[in-house]
Amino acid sequence: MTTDVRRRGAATTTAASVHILRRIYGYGSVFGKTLRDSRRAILLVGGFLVLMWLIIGSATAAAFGTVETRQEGVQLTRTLPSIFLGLYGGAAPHVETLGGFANWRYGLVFLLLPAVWSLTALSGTLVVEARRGSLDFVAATPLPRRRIAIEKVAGHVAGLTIVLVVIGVVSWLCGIAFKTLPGDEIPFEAAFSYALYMGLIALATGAIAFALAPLVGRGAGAGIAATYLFGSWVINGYRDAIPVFHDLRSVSMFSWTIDHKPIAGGYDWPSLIPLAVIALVGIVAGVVAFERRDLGAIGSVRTPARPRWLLGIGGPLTRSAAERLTTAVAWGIGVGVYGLAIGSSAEQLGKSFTDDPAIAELIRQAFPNLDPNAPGFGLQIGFLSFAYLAIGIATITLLIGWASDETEGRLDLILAAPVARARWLIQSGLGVFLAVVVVSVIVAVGIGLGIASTGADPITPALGTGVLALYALAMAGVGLAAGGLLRSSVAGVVAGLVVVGMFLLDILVPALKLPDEVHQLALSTHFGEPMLGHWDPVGIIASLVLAFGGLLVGAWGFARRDLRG
Amino acid sequence: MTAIIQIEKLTKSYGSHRGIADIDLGVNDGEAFGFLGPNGAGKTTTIRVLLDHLRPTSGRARVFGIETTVDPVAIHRRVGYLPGEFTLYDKLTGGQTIDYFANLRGGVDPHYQADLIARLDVDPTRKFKEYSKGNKQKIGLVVALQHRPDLLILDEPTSGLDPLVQQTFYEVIREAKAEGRTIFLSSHILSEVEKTCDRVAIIREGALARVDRVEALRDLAHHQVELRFAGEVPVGAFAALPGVSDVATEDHILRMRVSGSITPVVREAARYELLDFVSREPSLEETFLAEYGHQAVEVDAR
Repeated sequence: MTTDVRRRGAATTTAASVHILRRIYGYGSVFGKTLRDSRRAILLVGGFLVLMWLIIGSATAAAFGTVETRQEGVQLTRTLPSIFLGLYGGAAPHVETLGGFANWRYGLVFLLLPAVWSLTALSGTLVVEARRGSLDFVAATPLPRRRIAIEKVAGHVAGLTIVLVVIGVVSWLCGIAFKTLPGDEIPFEAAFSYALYMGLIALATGAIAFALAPLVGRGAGAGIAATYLFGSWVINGYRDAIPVFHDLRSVSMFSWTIDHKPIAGGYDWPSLIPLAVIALVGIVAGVVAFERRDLGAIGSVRTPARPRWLLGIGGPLTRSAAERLTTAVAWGIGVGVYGLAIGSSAEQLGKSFTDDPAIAELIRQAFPNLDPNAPGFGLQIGFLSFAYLAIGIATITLLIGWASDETEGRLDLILAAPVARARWLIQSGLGVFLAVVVVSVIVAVGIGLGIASTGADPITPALGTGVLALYALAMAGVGLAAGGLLRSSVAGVVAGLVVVGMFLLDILVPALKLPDEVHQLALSTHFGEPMLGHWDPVGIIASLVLAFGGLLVGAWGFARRDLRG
Repeated sequence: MTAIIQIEKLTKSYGSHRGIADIDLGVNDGEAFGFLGPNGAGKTTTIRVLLDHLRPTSGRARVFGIETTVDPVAIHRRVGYLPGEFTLYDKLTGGQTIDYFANLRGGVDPHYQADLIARLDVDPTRKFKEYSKGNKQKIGLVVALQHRPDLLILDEPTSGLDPLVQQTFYEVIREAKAEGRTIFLSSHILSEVEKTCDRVAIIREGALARVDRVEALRDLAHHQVELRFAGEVPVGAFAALPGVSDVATEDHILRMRVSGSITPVVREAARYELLDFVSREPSLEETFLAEYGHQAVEVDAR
């Protein structure tokens, strides 16, 4: 039996139509709202990449404006051992041109930054909304679930496209504005081909996170995608230097597309097909899963139950450390496996520095006091730069977790207990420090095991990994100071800005031949050569001052401001 | 009597947004005090200032004679607090969460803790994220009560609880009161305050509208009476009765509003031949809205 129920007015009432502009951007549709919600990320990622292009273009014109200086640069990249090239993602074709130089030297930022944005956005677009309950409301509207998911993804893709179009135009214009030698022009089609490549890398990574997040949780989904992204970069970069990475090259998306470097004059369109396939399959899988599974059903990776002493219910310090433990172990394993691979290849790395007389001479001039045959040498010059960035990002994630006590409202209850605000900040901050130490210890074990597998002494390089702990403690201190003074939610942002700033100082200052005083602003320049057992006390003291000074400043500030509700 | 909570000219503003303004309030030792007001009136802001989660823009608040901004830890040691909305650690079980808060207080009586868990019918073995809203609220209640605080600050405590557990909650509150503890209960449900409190403050748009005994609030209550007569309606006889107002007639029906005792109306009605007598007591919520919804009220702080 069917029931035909008519409500008075239902047939005669016409809903006000939603303006097309609000459907595209605003609260007129799921797509429009997603795009609106992405506006800060669009400005941040787009603005940063535009700035990078402008700096690269102007600095290249200024520092490498003549044929002679350009040839010096080319010669340098030709004589660099593969361990150095690996830092920048591998071989450097047409490095004598503006596009080739930008592609080689800053490909890490161009390709990885949009991908990190994509995996962050797509891993959370449905899962976060499900967790906070707003998805229940959206799904109760007359929109099919499939359409909701598609509009969500489309909103992100639209935001990504805006950024890529801007980058395409800016890189093309940079080729015109900063052209100093023949070949510096970046053809319009090359600029947009590179932007498309950036977009496909980003979407492929984001699609993996999008498909996995509902099944394993947002953190794990994003973590797997990030591991694949960075793993692909590292494998491709070091595939000529490290045998194990050479064997694994077929799984790296950067290896598939190694010949596709449009702004450096190389095209390999078929190599992009697997990226497009991954992106499509991941997105379709995510949409179908969202359509077929229970609304808001979010799986999680089952981990063994922790013993009571690891639950951290003794007080704020242990609670904070315990809450961060899973993240810390995941980061430790991620960076540690990388360290293990590099460490196990120390012997081959050493040979690459000494076999070729030209390289040996270059190394001797650059590092007159260091022994290139020492097992930690390769780690010192080939691992630390990446490791600083990785542990810096790890620290940011730990700080975001720390901030959740306030941002998610737990502190209302915690601070109703007889726990002074300053004491809470110091103890929970020390919990973050402990987590940082956990990451570093796992990385040290990875490096130690890698070195030990070659028969060399693992102790010095493993102890040298302590530099990562010092660096991360300093970044954590900066974040905790900002979080305590202003609001917890800014802790990760401020630490992130400092981490990125330090990384840029590390890579831009030498490349742009800026004064050494500028480079000295980077904390990493003050540690000596810890992987070889040479420690500079300045870096150690500076790190500890930043760490514990930041903690105390944060505690002071937190005792004086309102708790955010 | 000793004042457990003393609030003097307390103002908290959030930039251009209204918070609370010039609140004066006192809560005595052993008293159950209701803090009533519609959503957004400023109840939670007041409570968060009492706990030093927010700092006053001006004025001051003392709890146990201690100014909230001077030594909040000493206050917290003797306070049990249940926020209106809260989240806790998703990965911990309910039992582990309760233990954590017990540890933050240096330990609690395990028998009383176990008794609370049993009476509130909490399954402490499930992870916090797996609990329903009501069960999360129960965990919060145990956390607030387990250390037998001298002062209980409860912000809309029965939100999400089923009626059976609500009754248990009221029982626990009555026990706490019987043991001489002070209770500060924020709510927007008048019947909840009526069941548990001695005095009540009404806050509206950030300002206190009234502070009085609960009985006085009850006096606000009235009856809507409808009489259907067999013959003519004696309007004058009823309109002159004490407490009767808003008299209206329609055919043989007489409608009126009766404040205070309904006895004179019943006695007068008994003198006539009636076809029907209907008396309806409006909910306290209706009374509250009628009284405070649209007009300013003189503050009677005691």
